[in-house]
Amino acid sequence: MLNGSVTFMLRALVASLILGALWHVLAAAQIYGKAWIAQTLLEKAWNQTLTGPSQVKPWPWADFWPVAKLTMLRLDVEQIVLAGDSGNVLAFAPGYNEASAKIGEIGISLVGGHRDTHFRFLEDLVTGDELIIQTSTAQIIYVVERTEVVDERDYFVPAALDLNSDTLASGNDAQLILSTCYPFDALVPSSSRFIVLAKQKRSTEKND
Amino acid sequence: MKLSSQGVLFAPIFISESDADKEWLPDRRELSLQRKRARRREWCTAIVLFVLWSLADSVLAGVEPTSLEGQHSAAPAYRSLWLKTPDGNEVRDTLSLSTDISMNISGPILRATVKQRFRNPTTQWLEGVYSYPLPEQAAVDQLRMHVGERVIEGQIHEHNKAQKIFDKARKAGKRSTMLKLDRVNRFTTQVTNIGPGEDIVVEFSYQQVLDYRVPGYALRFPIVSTPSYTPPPSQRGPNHVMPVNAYRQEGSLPGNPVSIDINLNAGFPIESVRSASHRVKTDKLSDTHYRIVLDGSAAASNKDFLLRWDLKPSSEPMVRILRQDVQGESYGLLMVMPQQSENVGIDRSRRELIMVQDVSGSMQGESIRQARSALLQTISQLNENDFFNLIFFNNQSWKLFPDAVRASQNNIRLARSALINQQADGGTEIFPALELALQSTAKSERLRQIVFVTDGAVSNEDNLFSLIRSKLGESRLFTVGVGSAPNSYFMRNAAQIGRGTFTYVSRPNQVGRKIGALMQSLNSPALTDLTLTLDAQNLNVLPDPLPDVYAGEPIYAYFKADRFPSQAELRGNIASVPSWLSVPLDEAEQFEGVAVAWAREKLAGLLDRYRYEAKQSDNLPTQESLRDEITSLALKHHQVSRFTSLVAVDVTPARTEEAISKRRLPANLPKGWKGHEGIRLAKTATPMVADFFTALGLFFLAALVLWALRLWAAQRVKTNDSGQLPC
Repeated sequence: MLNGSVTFMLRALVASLILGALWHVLAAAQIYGKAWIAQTLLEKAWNQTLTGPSQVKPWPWADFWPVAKLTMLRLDVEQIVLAGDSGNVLAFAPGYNEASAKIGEIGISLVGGHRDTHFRFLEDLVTGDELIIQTSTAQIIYVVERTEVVDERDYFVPAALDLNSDTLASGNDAQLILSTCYPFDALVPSSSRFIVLAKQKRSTEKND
Repeated sequence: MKLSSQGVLFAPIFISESDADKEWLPDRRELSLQRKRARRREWCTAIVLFVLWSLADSVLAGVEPTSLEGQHSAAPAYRSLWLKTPDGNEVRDTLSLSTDISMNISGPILRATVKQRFRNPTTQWLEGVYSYPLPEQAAVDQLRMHVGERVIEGQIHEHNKAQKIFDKARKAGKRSTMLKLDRVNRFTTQVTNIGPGEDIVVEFSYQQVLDYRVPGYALRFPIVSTPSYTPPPSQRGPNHVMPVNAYRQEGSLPGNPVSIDINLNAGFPIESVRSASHRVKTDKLSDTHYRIVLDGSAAASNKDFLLRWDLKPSSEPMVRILRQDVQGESYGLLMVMPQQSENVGIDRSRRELIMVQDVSGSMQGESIRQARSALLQTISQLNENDFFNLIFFNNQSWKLFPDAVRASQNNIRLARSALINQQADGGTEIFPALELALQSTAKSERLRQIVFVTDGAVSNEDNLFSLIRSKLGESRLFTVGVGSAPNSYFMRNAAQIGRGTFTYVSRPNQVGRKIGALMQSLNSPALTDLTLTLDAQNLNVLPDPLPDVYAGEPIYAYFKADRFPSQAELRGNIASVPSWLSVPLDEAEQFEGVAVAWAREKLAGLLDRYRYEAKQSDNLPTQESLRDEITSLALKHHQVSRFTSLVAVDVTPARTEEAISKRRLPANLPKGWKGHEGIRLAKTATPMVADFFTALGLFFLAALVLWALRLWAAQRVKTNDSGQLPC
């Protein structure tokens, strides 16, 4: 019967559409879930790192470890930062690029994070905001100087400065760049990046 | 309910007033507890919020187009973070530079004079720093600083001493220039105390011995330097040097105009002269003598200058002997083009061809296309007796086949598709790739030829050289440089240490010819175990030992003796068959610069040994004595080297009270280069939102279909009611 088979096919279509939709919901939830659950698991490894041992892997098969904790009080953000900023790391947490300057040292430290998850909050940062980064040895307070939208293809961050070489006026500050993809609501990846430039709060201002 | 949304996940619209309140600074522990509770709550409402957030955002986006983009579109032309003055102002290229190059070529030797004009259009006192590459065989031996009408001759000093002289002059407000070796073939000119509105011209000379390969000479002058990938600190050698230039943003007009004027005296009749890179004007003065001028200047200082001149074919073996006598010592340069052996091939069944391709980010664009077609061409010339394998690398390296395989139809098809599908991305870690290629297999009786295709954008050359030296064994390394500005210092030396050859492909339409010639080298037996015998006392012959010579290449030998010899005898083996050649030296031409050429070759050898010794860090006395030897040789021959620099100081102080600021001059980026020096920003987009919208769309479609189905069913019931019989 013709009507019967058409109905069947339409029902099958509805079923497959719903299945497809569910699959995409799961995919989205996985990205969100991974990012969210990982932070809890990383917390443990981070607390261990604070007590002495370095390179504590959050789970046995992980190929990364926590190096810092990023706190932004106003936006109630507290995130563990991992070593490295490759894709497999960023799925779990923001990543510190190890070729950039050491956190708290003269030069520019670079931390990247996903725009949809961890670093969504970057768009709410304004000049003057304070970012606290805790490493296993120190706590550094950075003050946001400005935000900027750049093209990944022609923007680059200098590698950790070689202090022995004849380095030129790059300032004597510890600087921090947080980077994420831009626009925040884009559906497809683009080459634009939203960056937050911050400078270490001067020690004289610490008592304020 | 307080939506203290963890901000990270749910952006602006959910942030309540109290969160934004700066006064609110609770105890950290309490904060963390609060946060945990909030998190739990939040996870429960996550899906709901997610829907709301997405909808709200899309609605907002529709109403109010994002204004951020416009705000940032007026970006500055140069965006290098370290281009700053001490007071924090961003600096554009306030100091400008133009370069005039004149070259004098006689046979295989080229002498060039480079004039760099530093112009200061500002009202401040400035100091300029410019780092630039020179051909990798270049020996810099002269420096002059022009201040107005006066010319100050540069002196060669041990580097630390030169630096002290320069610093003292800077403090005293004297105009001064220092020229130093930055990294192997990269030099830095530093000019200080350039007054407001003033011009200072720095002039230096260098010499090099040119490459000959049948049928002619090739000259390459690197106008730009490839920004090199800097490996993470753990993989940097002890002598790693950080790059100095600020690079011009891609898309901005290249500045730093360059002019080139060449006086070419080939010594043999010239067949043709052409440049594959730039438009040139050629003037034929005689059969052997041409003048070549770069047509237009500023237009294209973003790619290397190339010039080729082919010689008329001749049945005579080509021999050139140059001589110079300095202070009781005789220096000589002997160039011999051996006659080509006819159609003797190597035993292909005992040969293993390992092709290595760089697929790192620096290869993006033109370079990867050239590399790909070079290797496709190589593969197409394999026959069934050949064994081959393919290795790719960026910051990782991987083999196509676990072990070398026969070039069967099927294997070739696999290799071709692997080559075609490989995209360029990531960093350049040559070390593990070389290690993988040099890894000896069980079948060690095979002749392993490694064809290594890269732009050589690396800065840890020394580490790589010692790797090749220690692991080479019976393998031979042939490097192929692609792109508009490959690091040919690295590739030439890697090939030399690897006892192979270096091929440079500058344009896609050269691939066929260049790779064809390379394959001919690979398939013909080399002239090996070369020795040169001369009838003279206190003889020093370079290079030591003489390298293998491949089909189509000449033999170059440099020597120094008490008295110029009258007879030279070359002996070697071609495919294990001994052969020899005797050359009378009576007719040697007198030529200025032979001593410099010898010294340059000697220094290169000593530096190689120094680098090697520096690796075995326990042998300090040997290092010290090598260092002393290099320094005294460089001082004697007035050459800039790793341990010696040229410095010129004006006698009269120019600046008395005013402050000085230091500028880096932006260098032009090579043509086709997409990446930049420094660290690139990570990829930070996820398909989460896209996934979510796709899901939403699919749900909507499903609902639509379901709705249509119901409507249709209802319709059918209706029609059934109107009298028809149910089926």
